[in-house]
Amino acid sequence: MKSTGRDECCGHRGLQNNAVFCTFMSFTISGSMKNVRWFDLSLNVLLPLVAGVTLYVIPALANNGSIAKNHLADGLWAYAFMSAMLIVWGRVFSLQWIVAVFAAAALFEWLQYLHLFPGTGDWYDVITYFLFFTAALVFNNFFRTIQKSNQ
Amino acid sequence: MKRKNLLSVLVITVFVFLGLGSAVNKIHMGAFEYDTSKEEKSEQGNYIVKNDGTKVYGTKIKWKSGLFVKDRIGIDDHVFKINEVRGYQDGKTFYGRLGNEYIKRIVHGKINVYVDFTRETRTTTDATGHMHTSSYTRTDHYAQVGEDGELHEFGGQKAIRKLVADCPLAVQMASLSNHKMRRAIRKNRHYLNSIFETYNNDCKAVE
Repeated sequence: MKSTGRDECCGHRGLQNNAVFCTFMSFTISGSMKNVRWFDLSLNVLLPLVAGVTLYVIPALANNGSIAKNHLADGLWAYAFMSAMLIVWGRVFSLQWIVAVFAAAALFEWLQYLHLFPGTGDWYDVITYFLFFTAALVFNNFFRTIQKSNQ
Repeated sequence: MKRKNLLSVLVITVFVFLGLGSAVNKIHMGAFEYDTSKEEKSEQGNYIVKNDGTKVYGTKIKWKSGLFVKDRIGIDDHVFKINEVRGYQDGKTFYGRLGNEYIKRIVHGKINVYVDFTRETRTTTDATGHMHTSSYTRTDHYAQVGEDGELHEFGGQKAIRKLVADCPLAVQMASLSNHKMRRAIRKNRHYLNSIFETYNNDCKAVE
């Protein structure tokens, strides 16, 4: 018997306790593969980008301290960046391109530090990028399982 | 596979551009007040400041820099290489060295703020082959920590917040939404200057 998205994401991944989330996910991902890709793209690329832009446009939303103000938008950009790369590769790790994403972000900040790119080079930004890249990589297994269950 | 590689290059390109877009110089010309007439003149007259901090006083200051000239700065009869002189005071305005040039200081204190105006000319050719030339003045702002720190370009509210991070009042002043910031600058041309002046005033509001 073919397993459903709910079985995969809740049964095998140990998310039984979060029944509401799992039910929502199984309804959302019950469509075709194309729909799953769009859902993945919307949730992991477009939504973080829109949230990041919103933080820039409405700074009052990030009034909980300078970390949120200075780094959350960067982090969301980084999460969307890595997620986009993973989605291109069908949620399968492509080591060379993952390294390229890390390198591009570090290079970007270094060029800012050298004043060759506009902006302010900052080690904390690099740490933020790397943390959110890692978060995207950690969540990758979860989204790959959803994709597999709909193939 | 080839398609995926191309898409990967596209992803990197798009996200680098997105990153650049969010870091673009958002402090437009006129955002700061550039008038320094409120600053006090030195009682001993104009002077240049050498790299070691010694001052040479005089009246007339001249400097030349470029591809075919020697980079020199002089005050009356004393002439120095530009890289030996970190700045000079001419009347009520201090100029700090940026590369082989000197740019105007607009805020003075623990953090100094400088402005540099560059005339840019752009020539484009339209579909009919006619050439069009347009020019504008690019405005770049630089911050310097201490009297002899390096000048670092900054271009947005985020950079300002980082510079004044250890002063909550200045951070709060630099944290207005874009709309409120524009309104604050329209209402008070000195608003951005006052963020740094607050920081320089031991984090107390300035009048």
